[in-house]
Amino acid sequence: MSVPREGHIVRRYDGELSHLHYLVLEMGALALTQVKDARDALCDRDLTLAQRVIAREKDVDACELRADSEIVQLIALRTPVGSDLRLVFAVSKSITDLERVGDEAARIANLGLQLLGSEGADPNPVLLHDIASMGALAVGQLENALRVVDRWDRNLAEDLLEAHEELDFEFQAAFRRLVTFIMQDPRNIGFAVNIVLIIKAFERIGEHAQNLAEYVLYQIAGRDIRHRVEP
Amino acid sequence: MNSLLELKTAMRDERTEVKPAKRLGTNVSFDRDYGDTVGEVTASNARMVCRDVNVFYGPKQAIHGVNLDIGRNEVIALIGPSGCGKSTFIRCLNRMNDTIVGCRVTGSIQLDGQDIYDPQMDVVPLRAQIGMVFQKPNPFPKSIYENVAYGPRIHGLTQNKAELEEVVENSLRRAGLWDEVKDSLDQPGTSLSGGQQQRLCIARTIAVNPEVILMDEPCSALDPIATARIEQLIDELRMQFTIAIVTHSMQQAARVSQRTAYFHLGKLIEVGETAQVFTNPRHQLTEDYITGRFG
Repeated sequence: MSVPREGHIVRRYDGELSHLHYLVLEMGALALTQVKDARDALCDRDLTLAQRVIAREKDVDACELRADSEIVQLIALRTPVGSDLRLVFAVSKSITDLERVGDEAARIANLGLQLLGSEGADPNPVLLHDIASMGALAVGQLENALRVVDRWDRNLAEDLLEAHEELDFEFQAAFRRLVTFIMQDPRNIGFAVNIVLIIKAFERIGEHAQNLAEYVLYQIAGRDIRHRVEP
Repeated sequence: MNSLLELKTAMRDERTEVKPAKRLGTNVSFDRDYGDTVGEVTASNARMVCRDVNVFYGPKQAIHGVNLDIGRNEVIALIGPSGCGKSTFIRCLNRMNDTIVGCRVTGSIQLDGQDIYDPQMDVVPLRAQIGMVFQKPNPFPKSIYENVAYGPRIHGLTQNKAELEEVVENSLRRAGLWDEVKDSLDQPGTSLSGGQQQRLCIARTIAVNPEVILMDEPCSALDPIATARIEQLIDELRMQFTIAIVTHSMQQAARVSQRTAYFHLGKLIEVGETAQVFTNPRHQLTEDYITGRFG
């Protein structure tokens, strides 16, 4: 896959664009760690790990601030056009999505603390099953999205976008299962609401991963495919 | 998922193939292949229509088969590296190349349906209809007033002194210069600053009521403030005139024009809406040039 940021007569410009790309990958790696740790904290009932995720959220925010500042500088000093402009725009949008992935990971960790850390009976382990499966799907999609961003790979981006319904279907199925649990035993309501919020957060992470793939396609092909209506 | 598959196919097609430009509509009298030019060369409200324009300096061909319309009330920017033929092309549009020994122009260039290279065509009124502003401000060595009054007088556009004074004032106002020079109209034009001199030249051009104004790097000798004034002026003049501007500054092309044409080695490579050319150029050569990758 061609790397679009090289070949400028002013070579420092190549370096600046490369550095922006590096910042997205660095922030992506951090966001991915957050999501993985949030999932593991829940699956392994590791409250310390959940607290670590919450504490680390500020690092993701710091990445966003640093990237935004570099983007503004690059726009002011280089006035990028053509594929360079699309790269800067795609990076800027990606940074916003990754910051929200970080937020969702912290939300999952917080909900995990409520779910597992409160006094009284633990939730039924069967109830927690959907967290593991939704978590695995979300982590997989985010990993693929970061591969797309890393390699600027159009085919991989298209494959990822084609899989966009997976998480949605899984969420709907999990939601129905949780409703059944509630109907069977209303004492499950408190746990179930927490779990719905957690799997919803995983679903959103999947949507952010899809967005990253869309930005890469926009950068490569110059066409915005967001908000397309399915036939 | 059909839509995504269609999109995949469409995007692959778009990037790998250079689509031929759209052919002429039936309302134009002749039909030609547009060669390698990418983008829409026709304009729905064309004022100037150029077809298969070739320019030779002796045996050397400087322009190769350019097809391009210039639309009414539009600013079209011609960009490209030095020696790409953009200045040569713009000079064809009011027959300025006639004065160059050994220069030969073939093809057809029409203004409002009339071939400007028709042997019957008188170039003096033609150059009033299609005015030109040059890179270096070149006021006549006369007073500010005389610089503007000269054109209308020799073309017989006014009946008396009062009318002439009105034309001079109006032209200087439209060129955004009146307030700065109204008390010194008898001073030499060359006493003005560079930016003011260029606006004086624009006032001189519009005084003869042209239809088209050609500008060959009108701001390259000016500072950013004077440049901004000229760019604002271009935007205002667009309401009345058709403007073609050659510029080395891509930011200027992006700021002032509605359409942009990219020339390379005497060929028109790509033409399109300025916003599209600067965000998503369709030809690799355009992309390389505007992003600064031109080797």
